[in-house]
Amino acid sequence: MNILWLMILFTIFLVLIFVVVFIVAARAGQFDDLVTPAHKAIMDDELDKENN
Amino acid sequence: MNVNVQQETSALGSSMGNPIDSPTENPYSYLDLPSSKEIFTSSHQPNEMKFYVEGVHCSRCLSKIEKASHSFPGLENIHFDMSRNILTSKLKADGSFAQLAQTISQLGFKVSPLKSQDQGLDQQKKANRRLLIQLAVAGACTGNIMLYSVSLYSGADGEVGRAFEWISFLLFLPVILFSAWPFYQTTWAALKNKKPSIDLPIVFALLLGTLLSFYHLLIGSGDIYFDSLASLVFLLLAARMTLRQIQQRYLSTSYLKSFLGESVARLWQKDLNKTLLVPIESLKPGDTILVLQNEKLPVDGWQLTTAPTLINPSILTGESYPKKNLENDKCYAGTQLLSEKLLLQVDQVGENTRMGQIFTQMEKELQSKTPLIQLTDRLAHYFVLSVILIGSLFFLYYFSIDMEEAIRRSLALVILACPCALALATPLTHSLGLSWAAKRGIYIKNANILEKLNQIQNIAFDKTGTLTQGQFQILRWLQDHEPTDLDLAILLELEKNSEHPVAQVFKKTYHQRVLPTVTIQNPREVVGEGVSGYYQKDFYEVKASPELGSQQIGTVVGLYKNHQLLYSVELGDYVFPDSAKTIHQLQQESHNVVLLSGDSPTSVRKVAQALGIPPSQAFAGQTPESKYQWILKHPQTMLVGDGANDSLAMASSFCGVAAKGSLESSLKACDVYLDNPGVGSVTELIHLSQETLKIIKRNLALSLFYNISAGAAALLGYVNPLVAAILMPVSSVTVLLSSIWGTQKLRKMRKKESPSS
Repeated sequence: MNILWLMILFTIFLVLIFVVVFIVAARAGQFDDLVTPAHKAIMDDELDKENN
Repeated sequence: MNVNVQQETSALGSSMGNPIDSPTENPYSYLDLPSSKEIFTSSHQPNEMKFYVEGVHCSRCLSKIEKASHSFPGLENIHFDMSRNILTSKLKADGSFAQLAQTISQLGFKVSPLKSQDQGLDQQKKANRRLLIQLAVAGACTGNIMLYSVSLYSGADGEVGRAFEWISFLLFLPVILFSAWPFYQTTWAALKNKKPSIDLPIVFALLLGTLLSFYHLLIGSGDIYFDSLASLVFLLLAARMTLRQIQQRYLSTSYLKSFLGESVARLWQKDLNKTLLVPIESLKPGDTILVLQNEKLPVDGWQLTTAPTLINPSILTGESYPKKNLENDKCYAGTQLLSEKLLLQVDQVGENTRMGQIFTQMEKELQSKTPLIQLTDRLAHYFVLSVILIGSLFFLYYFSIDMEEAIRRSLALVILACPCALALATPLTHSLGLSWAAKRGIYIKNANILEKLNQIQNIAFDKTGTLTQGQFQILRWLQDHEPTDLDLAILLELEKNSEHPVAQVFKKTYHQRVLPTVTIQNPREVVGEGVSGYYQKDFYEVKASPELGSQQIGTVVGLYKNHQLLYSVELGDYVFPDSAKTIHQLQQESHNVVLLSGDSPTSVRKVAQALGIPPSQAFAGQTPESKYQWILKHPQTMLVGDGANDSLAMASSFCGVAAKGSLESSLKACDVYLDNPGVGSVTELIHLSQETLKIIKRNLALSLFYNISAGAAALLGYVNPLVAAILMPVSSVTVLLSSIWGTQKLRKMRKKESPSS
């Protein structure tokens, strides 16, 4: 059963990492605008085509 | 001041190739003046300016902006937010915002600089991020608590069981200490203001449940509710986030428009003999400014132009008939110039103008407006009281039988009776209502309005600009035929030199028509009667034609040849076609419809008659102040208006609705903004509010049913954490489904919209 405690520690550690990454991203404004980036993804392709 | 501006001009001239002298003057040149910096940039970000850009709908538009800005000199950073239409641009010290704005406007978008708003937008952004993080933490913790709870419910006990309980507790700590913070804040505010709030029973149950579970954790036996409580916090936060996002998304248009900085004036420089664009805020009494045709006067001032000018005062007085101003006449800010140009000596600026004073009072009204206490919150108030009462009664009764069981059961009652389903469903119902309305061009500032609208008794309409288009124009030629080109040419030639509003309308309407050249002999204008003259020995006259006047809404003018009526034309303000239908419908639904207009009694009576408003309910000659007084006397009134003359009354009214084309001041004062011309949306709005209230009431009933049965089960001792963990989400989901499903009527309305959208 000892492996169980290791697994639990591991999951909690994992949760911590994800939450911290999310908080950092949110603080940096990653989720402020959820509409424009979707359009930008298409737009970059168009730009590339014109550059080539 | 003048000296200052001249220095700025020369500085601009050297760095920007003198935009003032160039034939295509940059309309944004004022953005580079130091005085503009104070208005449009904030002190901690002096190189950052925000613009409101209209017309960006797709990724192609976006790519146009991006491409143009890539090659822009001196650009440090640019971001366009498509959901809110805000372009945030950051320039290096030598960059020119004027050129940036011009570059983007040349792409075909409408660009308006946004005044820096005391970081209002930044604060909103920060609050959004905070809520998002709180939601994310709650989600992560709840998900993990669930993992351990499942094992506990399926029978984990002993050492592992104890450890799992402790891990759940550790994971629960961030939820109760960090994520649940917004609920504590609203509860604290509600307690401080002695106002009921749905958050109160939630916080009550949350804290009690936490304490009870922690106590049981310590003693090693008893019920532990960490999983239910954590998922409750998560779901509530998610519902609130949704409402917030929808509100912000649809609100931003009208909110931002009230911060648009299109307010520019042409400052006249005597010694240089030319004008310079400056922000209105930098004008001082005594300055001379130039106003061109169709522009709004930015300040109160004295007319310097010697020739008489025509001004459309409708925005200030609500009157559609143009007003004639002579030299040294006082002109008011906000009125529109109809003549070609006007030189104005500035008398009062900003808050000291007549409009400005109205706005100042309006702001005061807005701040003192008491918000409606939602039905849910009011109910929650009684809910808390009755739950506590029942809990204590039960405790007193059961105390003698079994003390520990008495504590356990009465606490379980409090936790289970928490109206979480309701707290979840109400914001969701509101979000659905708001987005439904926004799709139809009805922007509701605050979800409370949806409940408020149900209490409305009177609906007061402004006439000019709301029920009508607000412009003096040709409505129709009577006798169903337009004049021949020759007759029209004679008519225009007769009116050529007249300053009368009727003549202005003819000239404006037909100035592009190619007509034969005619010469009029012996032209004459009798002020107040009409014009006359001879064309090829025939005597022509243009004058009021009283024969037909009585049945028409507007003024009827006839063209006479040798005293015989040739044509007659109806002039006036165009009444929107759906106005009469809307008013009829509102009256059928037993609302009292009132007309409050600043116009003359005759035209108000005519319009009221045409729209089916009884003469006793049509009030003419209303000033902003008298409209305000009327609203004060009739508290349950919805006011639909558009002009600055309505904004004061709107701010103090029970519910203010701003019609399309409203002034910034009305946008600020209103609760609802209609983006469709006319007032047809008013009935839709009222129906929506009725349906929303129905859904909320149905949810209340469902939620109460759950709470009563769960409470009864708790008191009888049938409840354990597993039942709670199942019952809470099930009740929430039922109520959620009920909200999404809507009522019959809303569903029908939704179906109707889907083919068009």
